Amino acid sequence: MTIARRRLLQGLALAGSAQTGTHAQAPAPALTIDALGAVSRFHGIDLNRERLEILKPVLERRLKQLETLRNVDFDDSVGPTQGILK
Amino acid sequence: MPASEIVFQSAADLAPLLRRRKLSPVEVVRAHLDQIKALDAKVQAFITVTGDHALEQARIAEKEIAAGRYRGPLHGIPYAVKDLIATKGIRTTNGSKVNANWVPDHESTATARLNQAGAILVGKLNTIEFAMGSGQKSLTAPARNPWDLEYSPSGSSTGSGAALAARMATLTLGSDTGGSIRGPAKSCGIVGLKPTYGRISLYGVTGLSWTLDHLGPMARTVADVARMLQVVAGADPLDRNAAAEPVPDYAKALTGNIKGIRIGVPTEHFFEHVHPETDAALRRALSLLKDMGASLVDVTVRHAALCGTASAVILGSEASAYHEKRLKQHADVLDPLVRERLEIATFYSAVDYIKAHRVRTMLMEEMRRVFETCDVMMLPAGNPAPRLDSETVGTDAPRDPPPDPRPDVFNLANVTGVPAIVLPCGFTAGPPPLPLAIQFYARPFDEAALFRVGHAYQSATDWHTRKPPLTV
Repeated sequence: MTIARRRLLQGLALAGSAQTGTHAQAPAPALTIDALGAVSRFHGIDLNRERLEILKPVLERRLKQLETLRNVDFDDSVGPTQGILK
Repeated sequence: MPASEIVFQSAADLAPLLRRRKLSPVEVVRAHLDQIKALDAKVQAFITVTGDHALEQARIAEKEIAAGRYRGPLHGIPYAVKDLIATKGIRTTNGSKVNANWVPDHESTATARLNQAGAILVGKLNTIEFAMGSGQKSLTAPARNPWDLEYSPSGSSTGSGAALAARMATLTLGSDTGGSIRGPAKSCGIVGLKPTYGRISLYGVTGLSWTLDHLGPMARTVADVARMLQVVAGADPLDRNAAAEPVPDYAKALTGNIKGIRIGVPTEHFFEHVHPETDAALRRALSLLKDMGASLVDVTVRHAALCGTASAVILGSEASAYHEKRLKQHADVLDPLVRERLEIATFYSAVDYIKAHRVRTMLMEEMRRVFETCDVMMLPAGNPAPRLDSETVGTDAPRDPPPDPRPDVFNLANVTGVPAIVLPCGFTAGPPPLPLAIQFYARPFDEAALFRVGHAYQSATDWHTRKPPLTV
């Protein structure tokens, strides 16, 4: 099945890899099985349609949660840390 | 001491009797094996009972003590561990059909240190699959809460909590990536410590999330948890994340004196969805601690609302990477919830993961600021145990009303690496009466502050001495 470039970009926006330009400002894209399948293949997992249909409603719920994280306005000095602060 | 009373004793009670040979390790181990035989068909806390091994070790301990070679306060004390902690030559299943017959050829550092201290392994404890499943479709039937068998002991260290409440072990080890020690401690009416990140080596422990995983001691008293941490804490050449920070003498914290201790009490966020009986019990506990000489300080944790999402992204991403091969090779035998969670996380991006770690930095700085004004911070430890049949099966669909206070009450400690302890502080009116619990956080590597407050509270209350009806 051929996936339109636009669909792939919509899918990647879900995965957080295309948050620049107009996509970052646009409302959350509708999630489609085809778009999720494209993202899955791009990430090297290649989930089948049956699995994608199970995951789609969960991802739709997670998207709002993820947007909270994606919209955080970080100060540039805040880098990633793990463990404990020394 | 009659065999029927042995199982109700703490390690601190048993140790002097064992040392003075008023009691034999064989008697102690046999009493616990009898308790397992009598109750575990109902409680299902154990995946594997190591009876023959335990009796053999008990006979060795008996000879050592008789010969004057007493190893210390855990010598001859029965313990059990969550079954994702590797035990050399003893089946370790991770609660999964994938590892149903795995017999490790190595020993975890934590169990090696307990064995060296003379503690005696009586079995491997139930866990939800890989510490992330539903508990309903794992290798074995789910563990049940000894306070009422229709209720859950909470997870993921289900057996570690249930075995202690049912008096089938004196000490247990659990693991905690987002509350998996502290949830069972709350639901089972026992004490659970998530130590500082790196305080206990994770060598030989099946992982869930490299940067959120912690191993921790569980017992019925704070004093026993402190004794256990004393033995298992410290640097380990086999785990580069194990901290070289010195391990203090925790017995010095068990004074019962909390005069001058400052207890931070959050003024927002963490008390949403807290059950009224839980809330009332927490307020009573704080009032008692204040009467004992502590001062209460209002605190706020800014950005706390971001913690849950940051934790979910980090945990999901790391678990998906850790279990990548298992997901590819054994997807069909995994608990459907484990499979779903691992697959969902493959949709998170590297940018999401890094942003979650940037939130982590902000929260760590925030905790540092909070601990400038207090020595420990009090938090709820969740609502009373849920019914087994109400637990999530196969989906993460939100429930209305939420079953618990915000998950941040637990995972804030995992995300920031600070130590946290949960101990019983009351019971619901019932029926059935179920345990209620209080939680304290402290500065990194200041587990002693948690022991100081917790032990003082237990010295003034008797919640931890109450026994589930099943056991009497």
